[in-house]
Amino acid sequence: MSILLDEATRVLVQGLTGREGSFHARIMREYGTRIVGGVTPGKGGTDHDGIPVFDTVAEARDATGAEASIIFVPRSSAVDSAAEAIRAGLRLLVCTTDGIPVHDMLLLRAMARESGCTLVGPNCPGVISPGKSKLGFMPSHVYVQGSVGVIAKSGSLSYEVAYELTRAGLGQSTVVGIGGDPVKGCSFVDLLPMFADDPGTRVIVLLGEIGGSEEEGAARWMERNRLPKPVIAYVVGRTAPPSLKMGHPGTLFVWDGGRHEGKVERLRAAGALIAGSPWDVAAVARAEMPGEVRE
Amino acid sequence: MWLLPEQVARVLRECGLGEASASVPEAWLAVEIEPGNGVVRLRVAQWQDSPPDILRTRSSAVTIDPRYGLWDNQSREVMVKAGFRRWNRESPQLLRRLWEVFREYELLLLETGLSLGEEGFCYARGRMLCDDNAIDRNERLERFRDPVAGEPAHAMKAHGIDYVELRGEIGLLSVGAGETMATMDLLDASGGRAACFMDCSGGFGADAVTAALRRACMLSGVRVMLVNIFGGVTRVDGVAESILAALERIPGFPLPLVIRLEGTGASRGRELLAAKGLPSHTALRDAVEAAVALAGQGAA
Repeated sequence: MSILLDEATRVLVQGLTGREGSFHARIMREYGTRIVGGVTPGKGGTDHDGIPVFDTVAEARDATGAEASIIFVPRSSAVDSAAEAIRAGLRLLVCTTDGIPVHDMLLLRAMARESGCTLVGPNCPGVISPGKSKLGFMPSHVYVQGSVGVIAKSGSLSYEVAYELTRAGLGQSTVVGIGGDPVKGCSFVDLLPMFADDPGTRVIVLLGEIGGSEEEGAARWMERNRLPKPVIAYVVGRTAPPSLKMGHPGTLFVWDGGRHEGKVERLRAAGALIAGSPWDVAAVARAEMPGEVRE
Repeated sequence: MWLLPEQVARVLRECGLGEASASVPEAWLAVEIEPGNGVVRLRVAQWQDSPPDILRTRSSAVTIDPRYGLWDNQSREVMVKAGFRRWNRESPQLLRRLWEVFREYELLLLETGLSLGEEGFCYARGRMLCDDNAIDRNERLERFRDPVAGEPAHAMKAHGIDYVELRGEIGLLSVGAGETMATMDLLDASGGRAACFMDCSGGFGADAVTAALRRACMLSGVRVMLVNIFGGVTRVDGVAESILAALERIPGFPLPLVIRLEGTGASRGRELLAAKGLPSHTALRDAVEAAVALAGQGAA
């Protein structure tokens, strides 16, 4: 099992006919993603690599029954494209675009919540349910199907951890890269309940980093909701000074928690198992799931 | 990116907030985006001479829906909750303007001290953090783009200052590499950390000090500014004059300032500062402890 996305999910690619869009659409399709249409304003009615192209998301949804979309459009029109997908009532939207202004994200986030759309990103690698489908640009070959659910702020760290899990003989149910921007579509607290309810997920991995207060929010959620499965947390930035602005703008905010020790302690107190490295995540997961390992 | 103090002053003037006030403000207020969940809040607290990080935890708050903006009834509600009943009538218009500025400048944080003067509201210790992602598309931010932000060390060198950005809370300006490093070590031993290493060996003139203080304001973690001078060839009364001139050029300098003056002309220098209401320390240990204590309050 998995969350958000599986082999049956019908997806659209917004910006399908562009360079990025057609490149990643081909790779996603090869992986098994059920791409049912593309959206490029002005190219409706044409066909791209055998995929029908539509002018609008609403049109594409009506013609194909699509419920999810991924955006590969230039930054300048990414926010509008995301709004279009949300307005069309899609239930899952992946926005990989980086550099989206925070005030635009405030509005998109509010829109998405109101219409019940899970917006993943921006500035993220997307979602993969290994062996079934992927909606994003993560390196598929490091993932195998299994029962570890992963939520990660840092994209590369999610690759690292998937790689180590796979090496340790542990597959993944779904891996979600939520991105590191200060205002994002969904975060740990939005995805934890989904993984908690997913019978195919036996262990949940949270990959956090200094800055912001989302790890603390996850800890609060865990304290209020008795999780029927273990949570492993790995927070990076231990030796980075709390005020240092790293690659992710979220780390600018340090006044409300945000420090490494605080996050780790909150998560530990909430019952999370703390890991100190990607291979440590795999080792802890392995210890939590005897009998799961495939050599 | 933090806006420079004079940029903050310009923006606050647009809100109808006269000039910077030297007196301790009565209220602290902030509009901010909570990272992660994207919740926008207006926070108000009685100032009580605490650092903003403390005031934040004590503040009264209302949540602003970015789609509808700040309602006047929300402003009244939060002012009353924070104990500013007598401001109730004047504040909604001002707060609405602050919210509009927050939107127009695409800020992540706007915070300022506020007091009610005879001529209306005035402010102190304003700070604004803008969204780096928005700089390219927002004309208002474009004109604030910091031309030296890319190469701070290079720009500081032009003022005769050796500059290294560190990761602490205490902006540090001193003269002489050995003295500056020693101060850093002492801060660390007392439980504080320097936010930057600024060795003003090229001459402690008003321009250099202005550049140094401006630079310190832009460091994201900085909570306190420590100026430590043991003057030898550097005349300390000249140092005091430079500090005063710099503060005049940076209206509403947002950081608590801890100054330690010793050496040639030090008593005259301390007198000059005291005449303008600026206390100073003689012993380095006192200054270090004062700076660490102020920084620690903010971190608690």
